[in-house]
Amino acid sequence: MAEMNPKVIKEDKWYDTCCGICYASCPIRVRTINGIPVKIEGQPRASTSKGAVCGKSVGSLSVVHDPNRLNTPVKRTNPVKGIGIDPKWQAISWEEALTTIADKIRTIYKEDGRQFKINVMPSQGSYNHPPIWALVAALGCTNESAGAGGMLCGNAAHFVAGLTHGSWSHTADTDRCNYLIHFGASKGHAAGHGSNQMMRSMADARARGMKQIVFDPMCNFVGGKATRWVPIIPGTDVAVILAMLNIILNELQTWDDVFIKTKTNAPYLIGPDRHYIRDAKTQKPFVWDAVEKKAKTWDDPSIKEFAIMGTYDVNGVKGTPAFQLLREHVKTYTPEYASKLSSVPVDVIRTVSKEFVTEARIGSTINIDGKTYPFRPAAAITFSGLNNHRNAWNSVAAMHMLNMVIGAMDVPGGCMGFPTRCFGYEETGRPEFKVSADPIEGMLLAGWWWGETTRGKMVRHKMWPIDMPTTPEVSLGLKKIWSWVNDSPFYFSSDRDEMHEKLGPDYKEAKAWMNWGNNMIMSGGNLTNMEDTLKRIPFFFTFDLYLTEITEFCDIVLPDASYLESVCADQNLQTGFNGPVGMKDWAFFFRQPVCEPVGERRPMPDVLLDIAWRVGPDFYAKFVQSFNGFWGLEGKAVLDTTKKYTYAEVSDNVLKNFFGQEKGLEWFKENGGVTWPKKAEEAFWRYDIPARVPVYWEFVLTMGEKAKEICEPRGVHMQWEQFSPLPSYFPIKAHEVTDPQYDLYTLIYRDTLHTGSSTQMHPEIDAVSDTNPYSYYININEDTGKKKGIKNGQIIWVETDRGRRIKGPVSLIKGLHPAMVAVAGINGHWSKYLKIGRGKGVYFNDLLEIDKDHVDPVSLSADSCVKVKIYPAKEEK
Amino acid sequence: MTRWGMVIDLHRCIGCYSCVLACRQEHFVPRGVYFNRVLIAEEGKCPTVQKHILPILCNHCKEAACVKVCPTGATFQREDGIVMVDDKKCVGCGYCAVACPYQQRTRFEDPKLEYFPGQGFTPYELLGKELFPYKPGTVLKCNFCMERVDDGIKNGLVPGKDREATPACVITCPANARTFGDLDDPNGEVSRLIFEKKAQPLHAEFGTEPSVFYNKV
Repeated sequence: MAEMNPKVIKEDKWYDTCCGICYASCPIRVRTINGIPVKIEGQPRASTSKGAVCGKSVGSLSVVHDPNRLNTPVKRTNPVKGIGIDPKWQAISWEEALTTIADKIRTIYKEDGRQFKINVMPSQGSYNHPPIWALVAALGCTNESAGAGGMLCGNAAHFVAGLTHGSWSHTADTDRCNYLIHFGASKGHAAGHGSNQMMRSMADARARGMKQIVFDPMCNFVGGKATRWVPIIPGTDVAVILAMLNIILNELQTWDDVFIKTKTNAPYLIGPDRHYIRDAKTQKPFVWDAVEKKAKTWDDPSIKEFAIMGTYDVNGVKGTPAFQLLREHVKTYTPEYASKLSSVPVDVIRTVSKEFVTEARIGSTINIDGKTYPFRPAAAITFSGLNNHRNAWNSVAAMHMLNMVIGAMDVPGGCMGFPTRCFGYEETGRPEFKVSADPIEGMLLAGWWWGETTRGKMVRHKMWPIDMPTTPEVSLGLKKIWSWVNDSPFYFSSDRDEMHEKLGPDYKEAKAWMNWGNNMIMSGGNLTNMEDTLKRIPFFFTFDLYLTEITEFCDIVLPDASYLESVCADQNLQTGFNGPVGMKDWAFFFRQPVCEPVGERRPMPDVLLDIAWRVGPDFYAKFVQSFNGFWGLEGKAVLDTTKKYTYAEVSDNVLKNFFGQEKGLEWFKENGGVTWPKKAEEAFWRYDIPARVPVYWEFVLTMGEKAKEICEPRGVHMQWEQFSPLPSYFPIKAHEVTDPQYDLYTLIYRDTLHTGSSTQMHPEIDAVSDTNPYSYYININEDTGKKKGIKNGQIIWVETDRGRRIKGPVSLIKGLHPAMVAVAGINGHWSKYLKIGRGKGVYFNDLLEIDKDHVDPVSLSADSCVKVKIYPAKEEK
Repeated sequence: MTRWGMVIDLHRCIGCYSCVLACRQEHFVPRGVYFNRVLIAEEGKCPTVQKHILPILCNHCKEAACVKVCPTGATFQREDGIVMVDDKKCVGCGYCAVACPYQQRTRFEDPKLEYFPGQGFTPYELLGKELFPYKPGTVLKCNFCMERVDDGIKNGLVPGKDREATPACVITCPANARTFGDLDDPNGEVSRLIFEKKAQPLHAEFGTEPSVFYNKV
């Protein structure tokens, strides 16, 4: 076979940068030969990559070689917008495109900056959010969506992670954990959560004997590596979790007493109205001192012993410790009850509960860096599996309570915030990630990498204190009512007009939408809703790599630069899914272009700076001031709000601000990144911060009461009882379908080869997907298939009880619950411009109903599970 | 004497296909040809199902069937155990592909296959064709990244320890499932893993003495 011909090589370079195919943004190295990118490898100097990188990243190299990329700005010449309708694109100059866009933005800015809609998080995962948020801030825009512009992201998961771990998400300290329960979370296997870092650390953990218990309808990625795979009916995990809590608290009567009493609100006294009994003067919740037999505020230093059981008289009011109420509450969730709902055998629920508390080694300690910590080598983790259901909040909250009862939160071996506490680079003390305690109720205040300074603030993830529902509404996403949610369905739900009419702001449509790279028509639920929403937008422009399906509704499409053609100063801080976990060294790597953009492609941040400049000096000043604010730029790094910047210049200031004057853009181009040792108190901070986590979600009750007060008089009825202070099981809509012909539930899952909706465009990833038995198929349990007379490879329809249906080829597999249909997302492109991705896989989301009755009333998470029937396509009439 | 070999830890492997894709990138492997593949299988019945993920590549067998059947001497074994194909001698008869009990050889048929069918070769593909001028009608297979191994040794590096001297499929693996090293070194990492993990080659009964071992899950 051919040997390499080295004479061809005239120039051979390696660039240190960060991947952009998913939001993990793993540090990578890219080789170019003669200026052509030819190879992607992991960054060996980063504790997060350890020199390795997943298949998606390797295969994404073709993003810079793809002849189907958009290379010039285009505008539509066909005014008719719709699915499959050719916009009849016409190439235009950047000047024309930017003048048109800047004129629109200027008009909106002068009239009412709220009336703009921004959808962030591109399908190719290439993060660069600060310029987007600068636009939000400059406009005063109140309509922004992340999560690929959709709502299948982590509304409940991020909310609860902020309240329980002070962070954006969570994972496990897999370097020490011995028993890990996954509730529908493929972290370490297919998910982008820390991607390569978690793949390595979970493999290391398995190799040293960590057990993985996986509750999942499908035995695929994480299920396929499980010590015990537990197939489960979607949406019933919360019943199993509550049954586990019942077994642990009432049968085994085991819990971490120190953690429960000092790190949770378990001792807080709850009154007959289900709210805290508070000290009238300070508003601090009362607890009962069991020694002095009197009520004291929770933080009273004189408390000798917190009572967590019993009932007490507090100034004539009967008060019960939250823990007592929790134990009573979960008694109704017997393993038998949970088993009937979930199909998980009773003995499995009992065994896993017992193993979980046994493996937690409650009472044990470990010494790290000379300091003694509680050692709790057991954890439960989740993400989409619990998050994407109508009972999302109750499910996610209940799951975190498993970690609370064993005290396995931000201590060695347990469940960890992701990212965690950071004291900053050793030479500058920046960037910082700081969690803290609320002095009134003791709840945890989430941290974030970006700063709060005198020049403004941009706190991305403020969960506590909760902004309680208020009016008047300013957002079409109804975010004055649901202030705690990340993404709202009410921008495009089927009932959005009714919701806006009854609850919305004093405008009913945004005057313009801006999209950054995401393909929200495919990620936002059924096409009927999406088409109806998108075709009504008066002016819609987007940045994209390709003319994807969303561009069928756009007026102008701007050719974005891919992650291999862009600079991003703080790539490793953007998402909250990529910080080093546990005691892994801090690793901060930036993103730099490895080649010049082809054609007229320009990176979105530079274009937004250009647009802001064109809108006018006042607008531009606000835009740049936002950068100063949320990066917390100080001293020489402060950006001049009257100077026209490139994003490379902005990045230079950001890097110098974080890492010192000598470590600007040029230094990073040469060196790629910085690493420094993590301190134990950064990783395992739980007992250093006087904050508590809720075993009793009293404020959720208040949230529901306030929301109900606003909504009910306006004729909006929702399942308000889901705002429960004690997480409970509520059936999802699919559980309520009684017609026997709809006998299967649906699952959309993350394939290891795919993420977002752009990976199908890469020829190498696509070719390998064709060799995988699951990626591009409708997966059905083989016994179920046989019973229905369906064969491997057969084309079938999957149809919901509401008449929505999708079509695709079947793969009959063993590792799937018999009551399930499973499809990997997001596949099934139809744009003619996507020469490789078009027609690959099955488009799932068209099955989903998006309206107030199909989303979680607490978190507004959409439900990805519906009840369906399947039948051969040939029988179609 | 050195004999290069590999241990693949199936308990670690998560089937992410990074090895498949990194290998293709490292060698500009033509479309339709794979030096590394991942096989997926299932066993059992729900809920006691076991998913099997099996990454496969040329086993660089000590008693290589391909070497024995090659009529022109194109397929040969280096002293370090790496089985190679000399494309100057290969006539593409395909005996080796038939003889290989592991189906690890592919006759390179169509040099016209493009990454983007019908859209012409990209500059990346054209560069690849210059860097690795594979001859149509000859047989291609994994070469244990002998370019990396040989260059690494020349530069004083140790294959299996230094990433520049280690096969691409090994260094790219996020799960650290692959270990490369000298099978003849009794104190080396691959020997230790084979002993400790009771690692076995695929189909030892064929008597080909493969150099790629798999631990038992």
